[in-house]
Amino acid sequence: MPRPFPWEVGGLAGYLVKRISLLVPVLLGISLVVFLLIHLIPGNPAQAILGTSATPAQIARLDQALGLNKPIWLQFADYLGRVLHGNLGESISEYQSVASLVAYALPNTVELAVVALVLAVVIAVPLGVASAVWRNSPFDFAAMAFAQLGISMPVFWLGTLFVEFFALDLHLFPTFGIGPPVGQAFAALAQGNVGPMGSLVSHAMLPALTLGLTGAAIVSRMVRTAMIEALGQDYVRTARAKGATSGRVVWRHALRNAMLVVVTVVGLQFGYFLGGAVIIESIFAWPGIGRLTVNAILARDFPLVQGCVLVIAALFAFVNLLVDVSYAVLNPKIRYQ
Amino acid sequence: MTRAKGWAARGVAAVALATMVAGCGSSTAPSSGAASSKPVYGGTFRVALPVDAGTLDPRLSQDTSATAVDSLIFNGLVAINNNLQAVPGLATSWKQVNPTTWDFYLRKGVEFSNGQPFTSQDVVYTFDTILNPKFNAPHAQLYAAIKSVVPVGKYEVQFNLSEPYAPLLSYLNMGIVPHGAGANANFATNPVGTGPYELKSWQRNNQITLVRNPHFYGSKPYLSQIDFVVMPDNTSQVNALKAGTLNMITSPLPPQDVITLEHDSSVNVQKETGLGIIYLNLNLKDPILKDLKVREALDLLTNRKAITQQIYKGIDTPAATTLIPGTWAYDPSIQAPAFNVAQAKKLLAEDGWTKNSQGVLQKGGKTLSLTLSTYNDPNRVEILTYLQNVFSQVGIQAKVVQQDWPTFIAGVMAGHFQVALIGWLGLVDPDKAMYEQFTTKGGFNWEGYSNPNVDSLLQQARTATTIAQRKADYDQASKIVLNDLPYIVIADQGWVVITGKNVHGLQINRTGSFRDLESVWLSHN
Repeated sequence: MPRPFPWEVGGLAGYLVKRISLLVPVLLGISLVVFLLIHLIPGNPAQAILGTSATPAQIARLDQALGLNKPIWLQFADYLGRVLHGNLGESISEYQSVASLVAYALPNTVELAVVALVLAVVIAVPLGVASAVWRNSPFDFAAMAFAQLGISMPVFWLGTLFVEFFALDLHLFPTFGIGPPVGQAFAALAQGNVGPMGSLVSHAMLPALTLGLTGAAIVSRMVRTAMIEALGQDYVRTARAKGATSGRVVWRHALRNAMLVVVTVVGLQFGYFLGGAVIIESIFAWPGIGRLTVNAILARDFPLVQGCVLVIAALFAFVNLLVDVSYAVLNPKIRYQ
Repeated sequence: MTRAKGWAARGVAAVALATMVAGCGSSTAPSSGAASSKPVYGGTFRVALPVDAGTLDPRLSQDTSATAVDSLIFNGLVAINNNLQAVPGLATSWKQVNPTTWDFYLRKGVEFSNGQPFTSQDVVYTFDTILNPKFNAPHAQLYAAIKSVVPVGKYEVQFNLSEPYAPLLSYLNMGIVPHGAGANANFATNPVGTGPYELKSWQRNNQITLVRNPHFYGSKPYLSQIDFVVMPDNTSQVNALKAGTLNMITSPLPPQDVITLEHDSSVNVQKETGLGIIYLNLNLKDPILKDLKVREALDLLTNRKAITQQIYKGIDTPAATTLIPGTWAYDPSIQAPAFNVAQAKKLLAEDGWTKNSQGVLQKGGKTLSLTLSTYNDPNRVEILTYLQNVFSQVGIQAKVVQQDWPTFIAGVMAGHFQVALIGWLGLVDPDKAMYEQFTTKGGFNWEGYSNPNVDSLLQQARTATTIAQRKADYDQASKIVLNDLPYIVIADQGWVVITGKNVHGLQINRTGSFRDLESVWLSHN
C-alpha cells in the first residue's frame, strides 16, 4: 500500500500541511493585488527619489535602471522569482535591502503587539467575566461603558492624553521611543540585570496601553457575551447541582467553554496589532513595520511596500493558524481533518 | 488632528529641494542662557527629525532630514551664511579667472573621519560622480554648466564651465566625499566626511547618532554626541521637548504649538524667515486661466494677510515674489496688490463675466469653475478652503482636491491641474527660485509660462559678473512675473527653532543647516 501524501494524513499534522499549503495561493494573491495597486496609483519611485528638481531625462534613466520601464507582468515575474529565492529585493528610497529594514522593524512591532496583547487580555478577561456574572448590575454598566469608550476613542487622542498624564505630569514613563532590543534585555535579565528589561517595558507601556485598551474594549465585550451564553448552559447547571463552588463554575466550566470565542477575537486582535498600528507608531516614534510601510507607500518604494505587506500578511495568516490549532487544545471534542 | 500634522511634516520634507548647507550664521540671533556662563564640554544633544533621511550621501540626498544631518558630517567647498552669501569652507579662497573659469584654493591639513587626507582629488571625484548620468544625483542639473573639474596640484582645483554661470558659488556647499567613496556600496548608510561629527549608528526610522569626528580640522565641538530622533508626530515632539527628553525641535511645526510654546517659560523660541515660499501655480494652458484678467482677479482675492495671520499665526509672512526677504536679491518695493473683492468683481465684469441663475460667473457658455488642488497638509487644505469661500463670494465656483504627495506632484508635473498650491524650499539662490520656474523651457515650468523678456533677463542674470547686475535682473524679472501672474506667491515660510533652557550658544540658521550645533553647549549635564 503506497504511503499517503501528507495532506491525506488525518490529525493535526495533515491539517497543518493542508493549511500551510493553502497559504501559498493566499500570499500569491496578496502579492499580486499589492503589486497591481501600487503600480496603478499615480507617482513613481524615480520621481520620488529624484524629487521635483529632476528632469524627464533623469527620470527615464532611473526608470530604466530600476527596471520600471519593463512591461508590468515582467516586473511581477521578476519580483516573484526573487521572492521565491528568498530575496525581497532592495529598497529604492532607503538604499538598503528590504530584508534588513523589515528585520529591524518587525521585532519592534512584535514587541509592541505582545505587550499590548498581554495588557488587553489582562484587562479584558476579568472585566468580561465579571460583567457576565453580575450582568445588568452597575458594575456591568460601568464596564460596558468603558468598553464602548475604548472602542470609540480615537487612538491619537488617547495616546496624547496618556503622554500628557503619565509622562508629563506623573513622569512615570518616557514620552516616546523604544527601549533596548528585546534580545539584549533578555540576555541582561538572564544575568540578573533587570535594568534593560525595565527600560524596555517602560518604553513600551504607553504605546502598548493605547493599543491594548482598544483591543481590551473589543475583547471584554466578546468575553461577556460568550460567558453569558456559557453560564446559561446545562453543564453549568449540572456543575452547580453537583455543588461546585461559584468560582469553579465560572472559571473552570463556563470560561473554558467561552474561550473558543475569546481566542478567536484575541487572535484577530493580535494579527491587527502585528499589521502595525501606524498612528500609535507615529505618536510614540516607535520604529515599527506600520510606519515603514506607510513611508514606503509615500515614497512609492515598490519593493519595500511589497516586502512589508507580504511579511505582514504571512504573519497574520500564521496567527490565524495558531488560533485554529489552539481550538483542539481548548476543546478536545474538536478534531482536525 | 495630530496624525495629519505628522503627515504634513512628512509632506513638507518630501517637497524639499534641499541643499547641503554648511552655513555659519552671521546674524546675531539671541542666544539662550546666561551670557556669563562658561561653555562646558560633553553631553548628548537630542533633536527631532519629522522623517528619517533617505540617504546620508550628500550627492544623492534631497530631503531636509539629510540636509540637517549631513551639515554636521560634511563640508562643502564653501558654506552659505545667513545672508545666503558664500563663505570659506574646504576652500579658503577662490578666484574667477574668466567668466567660465573658477579657481578654488583648498584648506590644507584636513582629514576625513576615516583619517584619509583631503586633497583636490576628492573635489574632482565628488563632482565627477554628480555629473555622471549613471549616478542619478537628484541635483545634477544645478551643476550642469560644469564642463570639467580639474586638479591643479594637491590643493587647488579649477572649475571649467561651458557658459558663464553666476549661481555656481551658491551650490558649491555640496558635501565633499572622499575619493573612491563609490567603491563602498554602503556609503549612503556609512558616510565619511570632513565635518565636526561622524556617524556612529543609524537605526532606520528611529535614530541617527553622531559623535565627534576626532580628525576634524576645526575647534573641538562642545557636544560629545548628537542624536537625531525620528519623530513624525509634531505633538509628540513638543511633549518630548517639554519633558526634557529632546533638546531642540524645528520647523515644520504646527503654528498653534509654536504660539503656545512662545508663552512657555521652559523653552526658547527663535523665529526667522526661512528659504521657502508657498504659492498658487496657475495653469496658463487652461482655457479659463489663460485669461490674464481672471488671474488678476484671483490675485486680488488672495488675502495674504489673513492667510499668514489666521492660518500660520504670523510665522509665515505675506509675499509677492519668489525672492526671499533679507537676502541680496530681494526688493521690498515689489509688492502684491492688496486684497480687494470689489476690484476683483469689477475686473471680471469688465472681462465679460456675468452671473447665471445659480450665481456663478459665466462667459460664452463657459462657467468660471476652478479646481484648487494640494497635498494632504492640513494648513494648505485650510488655505484652499478659505480661498474657495472667498472665490464663491464673487461667483467663482471652486472645488478643493487634496491628494497624497506623490499623486499630487505627478499630476502637476504632467500639467493636469488648474490651480495648485505648492511650496519651494531651499531657495538658496534667486536662480533656484526663478530660472527653471519661469523660463520658457524651464524644468519646473509646469504652468506653461513664456515671456521672452523674462527668459532673457534670467539668462542674463546667470552670466552677470556682479551681484548688483544680478539683483537688477532678478528684480526686473520678478516685476514682470508679478504682472503676468503664472504664480500667485502667498507667503514666505518661517523657520522656527525651539530649544530647552539648558541649550546655549545656538544661532538660528535659516538655511535649515544644523551646522551651528558645533558651537552649542548644554548646561546641567
